[in-house]
Amino acid sequence: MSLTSAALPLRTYRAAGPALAVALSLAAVGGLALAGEQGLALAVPTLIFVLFAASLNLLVGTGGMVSMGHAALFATGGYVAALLAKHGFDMASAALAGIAAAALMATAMAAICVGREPTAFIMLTLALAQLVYIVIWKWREVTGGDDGLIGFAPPEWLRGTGAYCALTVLAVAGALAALLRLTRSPFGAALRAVRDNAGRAAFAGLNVKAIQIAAFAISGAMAGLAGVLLAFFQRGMFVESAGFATSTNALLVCVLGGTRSFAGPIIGALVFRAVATLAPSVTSYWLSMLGVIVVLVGLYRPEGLAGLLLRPAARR
Amino acid sequence: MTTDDADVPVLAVSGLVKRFGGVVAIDDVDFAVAAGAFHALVGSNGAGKTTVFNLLTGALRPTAGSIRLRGRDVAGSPPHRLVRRGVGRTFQINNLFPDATVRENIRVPIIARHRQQWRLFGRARGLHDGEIAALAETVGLAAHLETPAQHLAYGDQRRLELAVALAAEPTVLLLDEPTCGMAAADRLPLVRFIRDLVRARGMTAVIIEHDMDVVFSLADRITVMHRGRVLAEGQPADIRADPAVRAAYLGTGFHA
Ligand SMILES: Nc1ncnc2c1ncn2[C@@H]1O[C@H](COP(=O)(O)OP(=O)(O)OP(=O)(O)O)[C@@H](O)[C@H]1O
Ligand SMILES: [Mg+2]
Repeated sequence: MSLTSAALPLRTYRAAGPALAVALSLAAVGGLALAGEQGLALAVPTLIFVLFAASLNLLVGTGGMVSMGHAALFATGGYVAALLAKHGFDMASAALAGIAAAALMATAMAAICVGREPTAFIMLTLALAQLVYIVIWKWREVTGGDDGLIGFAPPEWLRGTGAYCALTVLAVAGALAALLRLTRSPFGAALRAVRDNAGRAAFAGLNVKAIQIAAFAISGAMAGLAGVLLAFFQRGMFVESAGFATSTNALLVCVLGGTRSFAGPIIGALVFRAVATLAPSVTSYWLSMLGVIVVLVGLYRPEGLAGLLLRPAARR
Repeated sequence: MTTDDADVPVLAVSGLVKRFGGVVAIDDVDFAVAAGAFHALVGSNGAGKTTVFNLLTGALRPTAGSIRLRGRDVAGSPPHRLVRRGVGRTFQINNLFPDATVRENIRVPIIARHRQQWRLFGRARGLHDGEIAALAETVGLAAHLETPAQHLAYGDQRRLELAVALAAEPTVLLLDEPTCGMAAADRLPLVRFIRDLVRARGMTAVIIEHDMDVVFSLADRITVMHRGRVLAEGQPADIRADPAVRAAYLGTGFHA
């Protein structure tokens, strides 16, 4: 997996990374808040995208598993929560069910894809996500197909953009803190060992497949939470949430920001959202240009933007 | 059940066969390793020694035959389960976590031994530092704890290979050419060091080693393989005198 295998000693800025990511996120949310209601309406999906990218990086960066099917987990969380909310369940129950369903979907995906050749892994995650996309698209009676699933809303007190933004800040901050602790935990150390040398990890006494599946389940729960947050923000779920671009954009920002640091995908997601918001007024080719930049970063600066920002002295 | 009776071999292999497609790499192999032994497995290149280790550690599934660990048949068990049962190994070609430091390399099997890989919170950093330092000291890597494995000198990587295996606290240690790539003069001291360590820790060991002078002077018992079969097994003196062994080794560096 050449995306993640470039070995660089990143310890030096590991501690500074999360602090910088938090500072940048706060600055982004704060700046948007100054712009009023409209700004907050941009801040919410930005934070959701940050969480989604960070959840993917648990697989890509910490686990060395380059999944191209992360959208399936995001959409599962969002759609299951949306369906329950539409059928009269309160937001908290719907959210928990969405998160659980996404974790389950992730476990199933992992059971099928994990332990294979990198290329087979990528193709299988991609294929499974496309399958989920097709089910959502075709199963009109339940999912609303390409009309989307609408007809539900968060409770009264969360309907203001400010209140919903506050909830999103809390939920995303909590989830990121949990992910950060996880990457530093003994489980995180075991997952990195599996990433670096699965063969030796097994002879060190680790059940490689179980650890990879567990990483998927946790990552899926986090992606599911991101989907749930988007569903109640939009008061609807739409089939694009399960689409190819949803998966690849997240992968793109992981590589852009740097997969080997916790801050990388967060910084990458913020940059991506800024460019996606501002650039289209300048050029309509912004996504292709960003794609080229990401490829160059991936090739020549595997430590990503996080590395460039945090370790200028070590650049050679 | 498991017992430590001296008459139950720690490791007993019988009728072991491994085919790769049409190639019979291991052809009806029997041997037993007594508790506490320092048992050598020798044979020319391609004899099947590493394949035997791969079968013993669950890396490969035997085509036929049984592998008994203290009387219990473990053929086909996956590697991580065999590690829990006390089987450890080192590799002919260094097989480490290259980006990770010496400290982090040694920490992995210790975490696994305590089943702490399922602890999602809490910190890995600092975990088992005392035990890690002691192991690094034992193998002579105390000064390199913070060095990434890939930046170690080759000889130090061989030592780390040993430390990572020891960190799992195996009761049976399989050593695949621990002296591979080392100068001839360094082999005897290294293998003697390993043998003393194995004895001091009450382990049983099987060592693959090409240097017959080293094998004859340090092994308790020797199994000789040739083209996937066991050619001879016995005490060093018997093996040295065995005409079949002498014939098979003629011209391949065997000198008694
Ligand atoms: N995975 C495999 N697939 C196909 N053939 C294999 C495989 N592993 C080993 N072999 C074959 O089995 C035979 C025994 O190889 P093995 O590595 O066990 O020898 P060895 O005794 O360890 O030799 P050396 O002293 O060179 O390390 C060789 O002919 C080898 O090509
Ligand atoms: Mg070999």
